[in-house]
Amino acid sequence: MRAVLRLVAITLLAVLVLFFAFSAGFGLNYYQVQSQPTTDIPRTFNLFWEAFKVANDQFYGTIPNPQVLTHGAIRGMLGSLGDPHTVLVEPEPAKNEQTNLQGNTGDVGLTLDMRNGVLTIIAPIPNSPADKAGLRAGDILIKIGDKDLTLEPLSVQDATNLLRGPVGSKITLDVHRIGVTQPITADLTRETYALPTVDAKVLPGTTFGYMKVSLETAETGNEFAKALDTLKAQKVTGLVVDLRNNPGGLFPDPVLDIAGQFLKNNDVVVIEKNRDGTEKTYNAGSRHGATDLPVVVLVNSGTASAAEILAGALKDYKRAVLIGEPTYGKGSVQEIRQLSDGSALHITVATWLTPNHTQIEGTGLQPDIAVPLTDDDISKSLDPQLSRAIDYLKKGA
Amino acid sequence: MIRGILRVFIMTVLSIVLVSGAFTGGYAVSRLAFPPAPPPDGGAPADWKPFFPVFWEAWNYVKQDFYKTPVDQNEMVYGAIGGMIDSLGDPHTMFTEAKVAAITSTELQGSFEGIGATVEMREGRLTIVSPIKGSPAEQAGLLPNDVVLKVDDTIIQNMDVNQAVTLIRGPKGSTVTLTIQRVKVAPFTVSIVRDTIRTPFVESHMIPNSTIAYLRLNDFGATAPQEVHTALQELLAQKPTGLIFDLRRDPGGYLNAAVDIGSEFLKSDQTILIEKDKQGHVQEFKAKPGGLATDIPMVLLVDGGSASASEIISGALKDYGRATLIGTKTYGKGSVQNVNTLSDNSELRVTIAHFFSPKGNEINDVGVSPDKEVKITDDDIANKRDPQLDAAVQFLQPK
Repeated sequence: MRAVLRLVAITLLAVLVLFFAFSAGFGLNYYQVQSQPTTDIPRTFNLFWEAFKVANDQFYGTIPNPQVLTHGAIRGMLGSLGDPHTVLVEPEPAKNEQTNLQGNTGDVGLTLDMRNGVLTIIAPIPNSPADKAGLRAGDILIKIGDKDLTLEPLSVQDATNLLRGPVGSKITLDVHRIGVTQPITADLTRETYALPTVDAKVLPGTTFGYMKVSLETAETGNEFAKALDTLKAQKVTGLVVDLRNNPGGLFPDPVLDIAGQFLKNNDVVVIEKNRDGTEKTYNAGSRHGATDLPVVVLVNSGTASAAEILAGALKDYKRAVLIGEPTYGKGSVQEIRQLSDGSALHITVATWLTPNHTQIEGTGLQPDIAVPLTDDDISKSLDPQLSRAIDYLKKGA
Repeated sequence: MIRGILRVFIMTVLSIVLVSGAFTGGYAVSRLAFPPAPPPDGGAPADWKPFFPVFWEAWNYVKQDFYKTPVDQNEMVYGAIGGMIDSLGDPHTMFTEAKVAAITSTELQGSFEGIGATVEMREGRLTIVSPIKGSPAEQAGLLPNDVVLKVDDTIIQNMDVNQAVTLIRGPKGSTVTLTIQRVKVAPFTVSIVRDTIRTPFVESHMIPNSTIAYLRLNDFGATAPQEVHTALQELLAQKPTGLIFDLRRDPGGYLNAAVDIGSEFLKSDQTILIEKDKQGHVQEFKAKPGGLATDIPMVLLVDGGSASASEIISGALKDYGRATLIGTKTYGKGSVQNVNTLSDNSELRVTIAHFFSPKGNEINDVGVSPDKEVKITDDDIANKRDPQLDAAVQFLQPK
């Protein structure tokens, strides 16, 4: 009798479990279908086909195939949004983008952006081939290999892909530098270079620590903590954090971690403003290692993205004085959407605001103390920005 | 013991298989009952249907994810049309949305206020074809092939050309700041005070201390043929031994004006240009009788700013050996546009034909090469020298 009961119970249980599994599968598809974005084709869209018909009937040249025209339509549609970072990446470059993310290719270490309609170097990554060749933040790319960008403009994604290639292969670049009449040519060899993290020392003849921070790797937070401990052990009385020519890199972890070192609380470091106006906040990490040391942050036009977040947060909380030049102004968040024909859509989904709601995108951050760095300074190996930082810490201390 | 473990193992595997089977089954049944909607084709023609759904994928992602809201759906449609038309790869085939089309058509009625430069969109870049002689643009030092990156604070990459032009134009006396990219020079900005620009404009005189007549045409406007005719009468009355016809930086104009002006220099019935459309229909335009200057030794001055109608004259006079071309290669615009008004009053300008020189040489993208190449350097401009004109005078000087 008990055995029968047990059998019935087990069978019931089994049926119940199987029923739940079935329902879960059923529900999953239902949810997927329901959350599919719906297309309500605007009535005005008929004009598109009207225009195509006229062009198709009359156009003297050859009409490209529908795929080319479709991609043209997508690019034009995206262009109407007025955002330089929302772009279509064609299937071939989109594929390269995927493989490049998986490694084994060499690179020259340039972070690029489209600025004023021309391809501009945000900053060369320290110790990369581009950095060693003397390329600078703000240089304008006019030639990549055989491609003359003044005749045939390239998108950031296409140019970035073009710069990549097998380790050891060479690529020649021509750049314009503001104030230099002749183009500057750089012969670069693609490498896999070690991404820099944190470079720290006590500034000679002072009691101030100097930290050059890169935000490229996940290890940065730990390395920063280690370097900070070493400096504190040497009893530094002030800190210079150098974010010049720092194109950013990983977000959010290293930035939040490092910001937390200087802030007493887990304050808001950056606000991500989404399309519906909702604000997602990112708070500082909890390693409050240097909450009382006077801090100067060095910035310039090569300080971009995650580096601007860090500088902006420390500025807003008056936890650091920003010395140098206005920052780059790259403060928007892109996501990649794969399209069904293999192309990809880079779409700006949010913008970053500093804790005081200063928009980073476009305008960048203004330094508290503006100190330019001239070509003359560079040729004489002078660093008036760092000198000003040391002066500031001496007076403040 | 071992059997016990084996039994538990088999039971576990069996349960996992059954549960995942039920899950997959449920998913499959649901997929049959509620299939995912395929992306719509939006009424695409048959050969577009495999390709066009990806447009709606992108469209949906923009509407769903783009950070700025609300997006203007009409602007997206206009943008899509503009992008589709741009992908035809012809800078003269272009779409102008209704409200911009209305503005430009009023501005074409006569003189306008601006900086006085002819521009076109080449591969998404607003390019100076030629600054009009004596205009603020010329005085500011703009050159053919300069690319305008920004007008004041607006980036104009990939913008509709008419939209860009409306940004550059403005009331007389106001200032516009352009960011210019010039080959081999770092981008720079130039501020230009707008003025009233009048076209066409004929300039004529005898070259001092010579027997050579000089005639310059700035634009093939509606009254240009009459002005050229009158100027030629005045010049020829002075019994010149040679004629210099200056079409440098002349961006062209009406086709009829080109035929009428060409007729002044060619014999009746000589072909001035050949027009071919996409069906291969050929139309020849021939010189009219009564030309005033069909025999006088002649030099035609051309440069990279000589475009369209200027190139018709250049090609014809060159092919017949009627004039010696001195200067640099012409611009290379040898196409004819038809202006269509779409149902919402948007404008679609389509290249419907190309024109060819009498010998059948393509002009579009090729240009007309001078018989004798003479360049003008920056140094010449700075020192107000004109080696091209000097070469023309020297060429025509009685030996």
